[in-house]
Amino acid sequence: MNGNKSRSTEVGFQAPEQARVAWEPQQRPGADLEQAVQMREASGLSGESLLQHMAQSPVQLKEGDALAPVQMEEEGAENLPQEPSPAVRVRNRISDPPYGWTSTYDAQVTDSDVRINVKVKLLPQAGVTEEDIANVDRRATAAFINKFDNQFVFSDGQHEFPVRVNVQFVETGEHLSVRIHAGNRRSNLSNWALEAPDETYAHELGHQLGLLDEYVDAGATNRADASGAGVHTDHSIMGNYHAEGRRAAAVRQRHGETIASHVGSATGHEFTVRPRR
Amino acid sequence: MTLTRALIGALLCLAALSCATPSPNPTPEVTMTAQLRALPDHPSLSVVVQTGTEHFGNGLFTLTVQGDGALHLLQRRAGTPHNFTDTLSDDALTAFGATLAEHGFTRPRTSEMPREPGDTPVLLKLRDGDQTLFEANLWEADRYDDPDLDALLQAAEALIIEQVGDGGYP
Repeated sequence: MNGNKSRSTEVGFQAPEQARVAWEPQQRPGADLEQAVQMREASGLSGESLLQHMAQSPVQLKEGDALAPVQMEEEGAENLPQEPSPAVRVRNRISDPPYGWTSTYDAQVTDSDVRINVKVKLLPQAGVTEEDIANVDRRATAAFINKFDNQFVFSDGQHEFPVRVNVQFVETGEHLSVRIHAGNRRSNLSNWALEAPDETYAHELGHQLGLLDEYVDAGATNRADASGAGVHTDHSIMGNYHAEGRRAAAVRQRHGETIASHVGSATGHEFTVRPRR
Repeated sequence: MTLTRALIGALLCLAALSCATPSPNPTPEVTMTAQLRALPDHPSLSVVVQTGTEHFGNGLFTLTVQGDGALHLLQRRAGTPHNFTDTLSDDALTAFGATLAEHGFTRPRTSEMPREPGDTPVLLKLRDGDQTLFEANLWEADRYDDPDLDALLQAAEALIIEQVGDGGYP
């Protein structure tokens, strides 16, 4: 029903800002994210526990493993490995009136994939314990990875890059601060409820990737009713997943295109997108 | 310069759309607060709290509590209206009114724009019969920086959950 609607994701975008990421002096660019992607899959750990584990037992990439570059079979395409680009800060002002926010995360284009890392600082509010915070860390990481990681493949015309996505819960250097509230209050980008469903955390982190809400909102210019260009009812993680089904909620091609546009602008690439599977 | 002033004026008018709206003949806040504090003594008063988004989550709730103890909840969820009615005891009504008075239900408040995604409008209204004494159009996430607004919304949510929802949102 909404498949032919014009994409709303480009409405109101401003020119992306770019900034080099300040990595730790002892690390090569992207090392922490590279390890996080590998370790997440290998260990099932997440967040701070994953970082601690990484510090103790770094893992090396093996030739031919799942992260190896995917070469396109076009005639004349070069098979030389690309020089990994440094990780960059992707920063865009997003407008979906009356809503507006800044999407910020780190992205790196390597010779094997595109790596996206969102750093979030959790701020416990009244009645929220350390155990609660650890629980949110675990649930949000699992939900975000489940819905967003390895869902798209970017192509620059010569090479294909699986898009790996990670969220890292940090104490400093955050892209987003989130206040964690006890109970079942309504969550938004920077206020999460402890009793919110896991998919809500993934949904809010989707906003941090620059994605817009896609449910009917009488106050939203582009989504005032079901015919609004920004409304989608295709089991989108950015839609009304409460009613359409939380398990079925997923990213869609338009989401990949938005992310590809932002990452491409920040890293100097012109990406096309296809679903991973 | 004149054009600049006109533009500034227009922007201020737009900003005022998300602010408390005074009635034509405003009732002093102190009077409204006193009425709320003794809500059972003012059966013609009604308190309205509206929050939520019809097509997301639990939907749009419009809670109306009258000074005679009548409670009405309209929940609009995904296009379907659900109506609930109940009657508050004198003690519950008194406590609700006292909470509203204590936390400044009719205090002028403003919400800054734009809003973060996921936020939702809040309407606070006090009526006497057909006359609107007070109305404020705010945004829910302001509760996280305004403890009084949080207390007001919690009081309304408690009625929804305890009086109507049997321990949870209907």
